[in-house]
Amino acid sequence: MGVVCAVGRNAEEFASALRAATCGIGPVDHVETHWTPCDIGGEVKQFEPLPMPELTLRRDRGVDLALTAAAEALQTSGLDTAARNAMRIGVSMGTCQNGVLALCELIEQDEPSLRPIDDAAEVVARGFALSGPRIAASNACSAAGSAITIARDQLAAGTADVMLAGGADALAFFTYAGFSVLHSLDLAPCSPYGRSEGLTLGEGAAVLVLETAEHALARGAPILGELAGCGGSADGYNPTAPDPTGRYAALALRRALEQAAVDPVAVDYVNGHGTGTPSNDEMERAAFRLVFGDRTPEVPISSTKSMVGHTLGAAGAIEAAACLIAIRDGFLPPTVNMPPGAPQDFDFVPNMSRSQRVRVAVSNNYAFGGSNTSLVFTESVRQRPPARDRPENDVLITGLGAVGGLGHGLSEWADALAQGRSAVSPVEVSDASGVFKGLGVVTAPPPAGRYASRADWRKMNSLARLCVASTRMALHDSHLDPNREQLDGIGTLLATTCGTLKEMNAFHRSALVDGGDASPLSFPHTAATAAAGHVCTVIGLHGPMLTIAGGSVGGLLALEHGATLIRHGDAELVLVLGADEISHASVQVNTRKDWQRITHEAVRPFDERGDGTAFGTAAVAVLLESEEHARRRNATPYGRVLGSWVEGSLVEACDATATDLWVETMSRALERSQLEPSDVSYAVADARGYRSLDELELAAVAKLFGPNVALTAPKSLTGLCMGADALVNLLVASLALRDGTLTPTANLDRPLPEFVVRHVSAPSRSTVEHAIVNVASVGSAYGSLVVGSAR
Amino acid sequence: MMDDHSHFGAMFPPETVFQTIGDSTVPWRFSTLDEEYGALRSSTALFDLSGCGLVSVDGPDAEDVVGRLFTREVEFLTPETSSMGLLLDAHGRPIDIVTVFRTESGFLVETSVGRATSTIAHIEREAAGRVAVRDARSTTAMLGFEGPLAWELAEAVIDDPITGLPFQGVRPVTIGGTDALVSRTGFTGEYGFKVMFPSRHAGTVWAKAAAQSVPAGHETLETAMTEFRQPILHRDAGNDELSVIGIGANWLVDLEKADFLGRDSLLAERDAGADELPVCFVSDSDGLRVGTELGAHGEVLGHVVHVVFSPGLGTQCGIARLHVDVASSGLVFEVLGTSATVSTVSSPILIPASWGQLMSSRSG
Amino acid sequence: MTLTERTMTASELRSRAAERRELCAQIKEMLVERLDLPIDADWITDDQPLFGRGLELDSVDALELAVGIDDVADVTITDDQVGMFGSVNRVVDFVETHRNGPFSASSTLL
Repeated sequence: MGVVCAVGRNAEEFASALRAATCGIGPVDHVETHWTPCDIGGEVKQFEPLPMPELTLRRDRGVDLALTAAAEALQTSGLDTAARNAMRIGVSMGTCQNGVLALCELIEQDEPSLRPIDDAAEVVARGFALSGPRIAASNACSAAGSAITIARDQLAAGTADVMLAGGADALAFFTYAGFSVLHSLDLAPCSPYGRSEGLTLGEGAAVLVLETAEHALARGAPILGELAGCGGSADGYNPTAPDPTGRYAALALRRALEQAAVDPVAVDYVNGHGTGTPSNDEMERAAFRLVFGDRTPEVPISSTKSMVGHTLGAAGAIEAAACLIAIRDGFLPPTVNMPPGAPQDFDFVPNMSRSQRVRVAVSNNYAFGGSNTSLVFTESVRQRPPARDRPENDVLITGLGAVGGLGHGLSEWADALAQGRSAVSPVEVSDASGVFKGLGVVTAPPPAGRYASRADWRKMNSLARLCVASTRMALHDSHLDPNREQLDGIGTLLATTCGTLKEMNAFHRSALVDGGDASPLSFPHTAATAAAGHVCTVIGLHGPMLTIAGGSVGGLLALEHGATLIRHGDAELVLVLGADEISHASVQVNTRKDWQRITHEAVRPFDERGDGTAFGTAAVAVLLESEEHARRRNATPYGRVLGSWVEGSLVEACDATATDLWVETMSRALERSQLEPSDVSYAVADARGYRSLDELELAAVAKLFGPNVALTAPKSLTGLCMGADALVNLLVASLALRDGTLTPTANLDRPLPEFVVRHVSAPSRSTVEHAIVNVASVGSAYGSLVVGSAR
Repeated sequence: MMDDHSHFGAMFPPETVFQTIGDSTVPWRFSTLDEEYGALRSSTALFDLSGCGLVSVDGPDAEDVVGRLFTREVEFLTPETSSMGLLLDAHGRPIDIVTVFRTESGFLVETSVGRATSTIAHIEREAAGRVAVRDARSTTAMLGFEGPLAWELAEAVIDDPITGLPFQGVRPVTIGGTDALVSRTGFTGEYGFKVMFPSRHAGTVWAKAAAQSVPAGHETLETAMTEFRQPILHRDAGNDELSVIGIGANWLVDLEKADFLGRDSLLAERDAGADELPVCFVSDSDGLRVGTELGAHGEVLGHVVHVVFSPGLGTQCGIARLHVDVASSGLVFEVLGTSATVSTVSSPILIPASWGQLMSSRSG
Repeated sequence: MTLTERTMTASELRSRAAERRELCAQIKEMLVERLDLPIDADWITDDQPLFGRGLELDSVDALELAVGIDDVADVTITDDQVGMFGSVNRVVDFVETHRNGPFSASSTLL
């Protein structure tokens, strides 16, 4: 466990401060709060970033906080460098605002050497040479809760030996401005569950070292507690306000307790979300009553945000650490700033900590867009029967929906893909940061009134509209009968990389330039998770909900997480969405981060003349369903989700080591599917039209499969669609599995000659039993997913 | 099929004054306007809404039929929400102001007071046998709770918590163990709830509700609706012809909706422009009646179409139709032939007491 | 004071009404633009409700509207002025009562 926040530079200082009820909220020094009326916060004073000179990635304060917490977590976990090198260690971090300011600065300055801030998961992985998956959860204030949940699932799925999981965020003018225009900031230090007149922003990071019980016991690790249950849900209520009934917050907590096999009666301590805003605090009271019933007044519930402020993406991690400290040290962290005259109907542990044994502690977090997470921690590792004595559910693909350059709706996409019709063309797209003119892929906006009521449509940004449209299409395609099926249990997982970049840039600009005239309506649009929130709201979905950033591989991680939820019986239906848009801002960021150029001529994957790529807008929705559920309703599946693998890169450059990583990731994905390379007859490549990158993947495909697979590169048709890439490729594979339609690679006139492979270069059909899908976030991570026929 | 008698009639005091509105006879006043109105503005008024029709429209084509008749979108209406809008005839004239609820088998349409018969006839005529249309009033009773403390009454009468029910929200609940429906809708701008339940329980539910509120007649309801500028079809046009624009009911019509009965006629009416428009007024005297002429220095500029005595203001207020050139708030007109004046004012004429008061159940 | 002294002439009424119409039109344009309302500004009436069943606005819209009114009319709105969002007419009443002087020609409306 590693912690850095306003009341502690490490976990031990944090623990002492919790016990002493220290409030770390005061005037802020390093952030310019400009015109905002609030200039207090939970600031980390005298913070010295770790030097780490060998780490070439670009960092900001949020990332530096993450590195500090991760260093402490690794050091106290007893994993030395030698042990670390022998293990596969992944990183899963929640963040809300990391790099926002730097991104805005980057977009506005014409300095080619400037690169965007790398996300915290990436920097931590590279900083400590960890080669496992890197996951960037970006569902705002519950991001760390989600990051920890995904990390737990990676361990359960056996895709990592150890996961570093947590969250980090730094104070920034951007968030002061945003919460100010929403009138959400308390001018005095916040008083959660007490005065409840607003929140106070804070900053910090916390990282937990997670491993399976077997792994931890085998290496004699110092065990702080067990992460016994993770529950998630979506409010499906409103883009900014929580559902005041608290029923879905209660559902997340019930799901976590159920998974942990813990009765609500056994809960000794709840670390609430406790932001201090009236709507949150009131909603939580309702949720607590729903879960704890008559016992509510006896359950100690406190908000440590009263001491450290609301650290947004880090909140769930810092509060998880508080729960572990409560268990380890046997005391209840208090809610400070509680006015006299404490309520009788709740025990908010007012103003002073209390010594008490804590066996079971719960951490709750709730975010913009209605994403709820609950984590249950228990004392030591309990002896209990294996949680999952029944076989894992098989996962089928039973619905597809897509909006993008190839058209609106699956039939338009299927036609264009079958014929190899490219949507790449000269485009002109503008946003607050400027105008991009060049080759790209755009799409007509979905029409108002078709996919949601006009009143709901008005509240969505363009990304949310794409997501809602593609979701409606996928649900329609799945033939789920909304009158007969329990649709509200559907999980909603969104992958988007640059989803809200143009909104962030516009809001930041308006906040800086126009001061108090910044638009309250537009601030919620800057949260990446808003789009998923709109999907849940208009369709009425209340299953687990989260948002993942992290480039093209983010989509694969979302698919993997969705499949895990179904395999483990945590959901029967999961909607996985990948969506991103071409904008001036997204092109700026991507062409710098991925060393990619925009082609001036054509996107030519695997071609000698491949000189660059083109970016595109797309939203693809894939409905995953348990085989049993699909069979019960006579669904017509496209295919079956088999094994996947993600390999993290330890070097930034794209050299020949990338070929080894591609070979490794494809081999491991096949191994996890219990298949040999010879079983696969179709490969849907990541190749993006940039020769020096494409040949690294091509070498790996040639080495593993030779001419036995039909190879296609859909980016020649769709452009590079960032968070949607994995879903686009999965859609291509799904159409082949069910209908035998192969997608040709466009513009492939002079295939790179030195590799023996079989390109799909013209429209063709073939029976496909197994296909492999590749995606890369170049220089960061490489991923593969194997899918099979549903027959 | 038509029922003139309230389900709650047996519970009314003997001094109850009735009035006939359209096809219904409704309780107009139980005690005094001051008492009933006072309850509405300070605590909770209990309204017998038996005069409003409840019409179920069921069948596979229900969405098509209701969608074609209703002036707002119904496609995305869920069972958790309701929508208030108009039904128009082919000439774009209002048939009724209705609230539409989505049900498992179709829709439930709540009509305005006294208009059930004509609205059912309209739906049946337009549906031409494609849906099953049923008057649900004989089996379902409806009460309205309105006032700044209406939520307390709703919590007392309904078995389930109603915390967090948003405006226009609908929720299945039980009342005394019987299945019922509650919607957070009303007419007066105060916090408002409507409960619908099997009519055989009418007596017990009324008794329970009346014990914790003040039963109020439709005189109070119409007075407060006028003060809030909530349209009342049987009043707002006075003796003039009823039209959407003439009563200022534009906001009940979503012109972005591509197709509904009467839309083309309404667009033509809009494009032609109006000679007169409705404006709210308050008066400094008591003698105004429907048709009273208003003007300046003897020149006729409009006339009163609806007027009530407002206990809240202690004077008359209402709606006048004024020549479009002078149809504005903030002006003073002569009541022609008298020495009295009226001042045109902005809507709502009176701000509801519930605005700015939290609906909260912190204790329970 | 005689009745004629207390009341305006028809032409005075017309010119006052014209000014008022202009202010209402500006507020409606601002509403539609700023809140991205799917509605023709001319279809909004001066007296219709804005929140709840009217234009179906919510609390974030109210904040946006407050910023918009400040922008258009240089009038700051505080949280306790609940009545002012009752209708476009109410907004105009508020602006007329609170702003310092008339709309200046230089204030960029939208």
